[in-house]
Amino acid sequence: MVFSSIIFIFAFLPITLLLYYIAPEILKNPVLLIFSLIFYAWGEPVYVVLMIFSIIFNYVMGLDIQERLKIGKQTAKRSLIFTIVVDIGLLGFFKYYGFVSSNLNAVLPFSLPEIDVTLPVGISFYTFQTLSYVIDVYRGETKVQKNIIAFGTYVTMFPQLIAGPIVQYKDIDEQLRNRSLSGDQIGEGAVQFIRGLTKKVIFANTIGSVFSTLSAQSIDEMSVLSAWMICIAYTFQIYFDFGGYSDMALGLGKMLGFRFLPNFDYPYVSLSATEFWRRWHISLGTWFREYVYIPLGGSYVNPARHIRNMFVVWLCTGLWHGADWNFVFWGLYYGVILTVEKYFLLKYLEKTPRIVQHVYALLIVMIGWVFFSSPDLGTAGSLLGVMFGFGEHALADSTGLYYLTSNLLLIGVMILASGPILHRALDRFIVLFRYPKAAATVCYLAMFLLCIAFLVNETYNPFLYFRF
Amino acid sequence: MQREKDKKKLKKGEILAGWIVIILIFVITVANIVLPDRDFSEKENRMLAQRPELSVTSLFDGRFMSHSESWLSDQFALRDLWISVRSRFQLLMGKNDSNGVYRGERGYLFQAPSEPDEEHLSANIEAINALAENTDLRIFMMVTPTAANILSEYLPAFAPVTDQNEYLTALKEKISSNIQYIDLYDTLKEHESDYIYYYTDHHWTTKGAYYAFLTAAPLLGIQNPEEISYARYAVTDSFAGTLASRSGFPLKKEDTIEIWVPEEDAAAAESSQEDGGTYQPSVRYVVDYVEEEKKSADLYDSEKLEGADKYAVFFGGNYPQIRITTTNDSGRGTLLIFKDSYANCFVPFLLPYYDEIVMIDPRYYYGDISELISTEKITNILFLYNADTFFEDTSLADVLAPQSAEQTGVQAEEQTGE
Amino acid sequence: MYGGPYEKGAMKKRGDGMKDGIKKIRDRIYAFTDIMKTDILFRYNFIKAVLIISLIVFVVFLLGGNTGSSRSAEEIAESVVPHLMQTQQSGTEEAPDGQEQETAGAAEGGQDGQTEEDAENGGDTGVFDGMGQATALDFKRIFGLNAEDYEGVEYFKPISQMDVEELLIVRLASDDQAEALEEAVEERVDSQKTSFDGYGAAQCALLEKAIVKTRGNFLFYCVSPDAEQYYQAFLDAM
Repeated sequence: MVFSSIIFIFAFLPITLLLYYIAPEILKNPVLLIFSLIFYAWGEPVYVVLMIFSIIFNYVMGLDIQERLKIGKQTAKRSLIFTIVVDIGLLGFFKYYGFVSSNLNAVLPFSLPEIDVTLPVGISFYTFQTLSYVIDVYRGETKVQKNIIAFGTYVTMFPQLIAGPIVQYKDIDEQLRNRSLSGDQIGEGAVQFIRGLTKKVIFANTIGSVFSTLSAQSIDEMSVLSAWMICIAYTFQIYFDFGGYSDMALGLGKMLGFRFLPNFDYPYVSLSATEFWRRWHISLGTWFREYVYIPLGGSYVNPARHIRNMFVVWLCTGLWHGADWNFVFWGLYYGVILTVEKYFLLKYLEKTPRIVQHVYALLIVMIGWVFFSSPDLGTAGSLLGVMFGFGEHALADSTGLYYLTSNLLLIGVMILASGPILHRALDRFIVLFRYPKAAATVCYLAMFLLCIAFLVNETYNPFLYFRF
Repeated sequence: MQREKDKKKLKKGEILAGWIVIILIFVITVANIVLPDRDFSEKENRMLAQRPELSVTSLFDGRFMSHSESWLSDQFALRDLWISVRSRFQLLMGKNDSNGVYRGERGYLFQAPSEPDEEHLSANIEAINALAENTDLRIFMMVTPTAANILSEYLPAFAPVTDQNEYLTALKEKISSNIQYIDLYDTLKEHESDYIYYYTDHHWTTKGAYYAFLTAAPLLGIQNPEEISYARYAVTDSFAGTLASRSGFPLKKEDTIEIWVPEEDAAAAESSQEDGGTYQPSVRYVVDYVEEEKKSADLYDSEKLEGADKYAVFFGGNYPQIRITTTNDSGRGTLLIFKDSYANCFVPFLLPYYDEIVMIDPRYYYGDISELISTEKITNILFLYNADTFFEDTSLADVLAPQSAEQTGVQAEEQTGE
Repeated sequence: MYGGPYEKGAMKKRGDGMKDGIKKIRDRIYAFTDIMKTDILFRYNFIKAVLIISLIVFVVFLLGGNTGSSRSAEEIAESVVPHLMQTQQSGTEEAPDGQEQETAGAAEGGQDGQTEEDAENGGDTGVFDGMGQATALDFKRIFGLNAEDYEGVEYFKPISQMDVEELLIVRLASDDQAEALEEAVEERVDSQKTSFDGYGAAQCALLEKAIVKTRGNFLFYCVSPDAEQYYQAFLDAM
């Protein structure tokens, strides 16, 4: 099930909220767990079993590791390694078997059997969450969770189950046991949900259909304008898609009494690639830093080791996003750029005017998206070629112009919405009215009604970060 | 200090908004449950999804889930209102297309011309040419340019429309020299400021068909097509056609459908009404819907005017095979027309000039053409399509094929394998 | 205290053999639960083993769930739509006009008279579906593929040309045929949708609910108000 759908907003959510609000404290977690399982099973009626396995397994292993820690670190470590192997093994099998086997088949003398498995939705997210739990138990950074219901709730909580943010167990342990539900927080959550919904439905879906229509053109006949439109469209789509979804997740969390850490912080105002990754998919970056980068030594080692650490983290980041070479390339692309920035570029960059830094950062990011969104490296290269004037391509053609002019206003709004400017301007604007309270109400209500209008006739509702 | 107060008020406003939305969600959910399900949407011209049945397989499959979502979406309270809100908003934002339909000037809606499906197009052309080679009958071909082509100046700015004329010219070159091609571009372009295409529908108007008829007539062997003058009757002025429902755009203009009746018949009908008697129409005919086994004395089905698809007033719509027998002794024999719906308002103009007309819609027809040709004693064959449908057609080759296969003696091979 | 007739050994009778057995099992269970209660690590190791084994079973079941069937296409079609299968010898004696007409008319075309005949034979042929058995030529014409390429093809097409109800069951000769066949079927559904777009709302609605499924070495395709039931019957017949 997707948040931006009629079935979620007008069937699942009201029922869940109703039962959750009237349930007494001790029943809140079980209610949430049950409905989260229904939420997941709705989209994955068979793979829900796999997730239940993951819950029980990691729960038991948490207890196991805790017990073994009393005896000695070595035996606990063995248990931890066993857990990690099983968790990542599952993720690896369902997500990467096809990719690995098809690549191995090219070099091996024999052929690996072709296994046809579809990727269970959200497995990358919930696997990383369970891993964060067991590792933190081993490290002693969190109390073990003895209540399997509470643990299950942590793993399956529907706000963050399908598409994050990746919530580390220690950040939420307290809230699982004891959380407050205030009317203010619920209202706040609902408004954040609406902001996210608008980003997803009005911005991302619309510009996304421009992206797919334009991408269907053959590269040879494409104009430079069309190529840039494709790149710009995707840049906006992925941000408002994923960012919008994270907003909805945080909003829903608040409505249930949870406060998650924000996952996006206006990434497109960044002045460098380094800054970009501090503002984009923050929970993933944090996870990798906490559980891969720092254990490897982070930046507190000699440069050679440090570069190796960067390499490992970015390879993993790329792979996490998808089982294909273009994702690996995209991850390593950032690895290289971030290394170069850290050791060399940032010093000079910071001395240039802000606008130069901003353009630099945006170019790096947009080129990165071309690799991320292309089905293979060859296509990515061709598109970039057109964008930067290689080969015989018209500067602009009617297709490019048509889509540009049709979406000019939308693009303008999206540019504003990519930074805190719009939000602040909106706030300032609302405050100008005699009754800021009423004005805010009208504004958000209008946004919500518009989203319903878009959703009711949804023919095009993809979610890019869905299959992760 | 004021800023602080304002921020607080804003925050309160947001929280209030949040709560109103939550309540609204509950209200709408209850409304959806309480309101009865609709069967059919006039605006979208399609059946609406109904409550799905629950079965173990459909549950494990995910089909139950996707059917439930369609059901909920289709039966959403005030669905039509929400759809029009969306279209209006998109128009406001400058988007002039929706679902393959462009919204142009003067209230015209345009069907985006299709790129031909090369494989099927070549197969169709081949089959048509084969037919021409293997028969002595006179064959004509009339592939009509569509509104997006003729009225191109009303398209929205920069609309990336494929050049239909390029494909039409290529078509003209590829067909056999035995076939008489009827080119309508010049005629229609000449009358472009006339009401020759509907605003909200992809068909041409009866007037447009008439101009086409005047151009086609001499090539068909009809000497004086203008000798029959027509009285024009508007049978509806609230026609909202296929493009309106497909695009969901708010209606700027509604269309008028005209039925053109020969003047002498119109006059005779009027006077006979006054007298209270009957009159003899200039052409006496019977329309036979072969597949459906029903006959009609009228070319027009006025019942269709009460539904959404009012264009179906012409012959009641598309049928696999329609045979019109007349009492004419024209000397031109029987005309076989392979057609799409554009022919429906064109054929009445041909009526006085043939003894019999057989209309075949290859999308729905699975009979044997060669048998049909000999049984009906066909003397002339006409291919009458609009460019969009013709270039997308996937049925013609198959329908014509047995004919050409037989001629080349592959028949025996094809019949085995039962 | 000990001794006498109540001594353990003395009380041993023949039926005690089984009682002893049950007692041994019960003791084992108690010993096991004792260990589970006291030795925590053992408990966890045991649960781990159970979970991993269940996981493996689940994965095997998941991957193996796609096996096909050893039956022929004809047999499966018999189970799914017995009333549409051409009856060979039987039946012709009972209602010569009706049945013969049906078998003859079920070949190419299904033209005039077919509908009336079937309605008359409602009792003989069972439920009137709107589908009739089609030939290899029909299959080729509609899907663009040769029926001889597959191990078995059972195709029922709409009797009336304005209808869209149809059913296809194919037994594949090899797995790589699946993709091409599925594509051909999807194309058929799409072209039907285009043909009826704007004219046949009921037909379009049925087409939206078309079922196209590959199960191992079988492909099932159906457009019908009863498609779900046919699919269930198909799965049961496999």
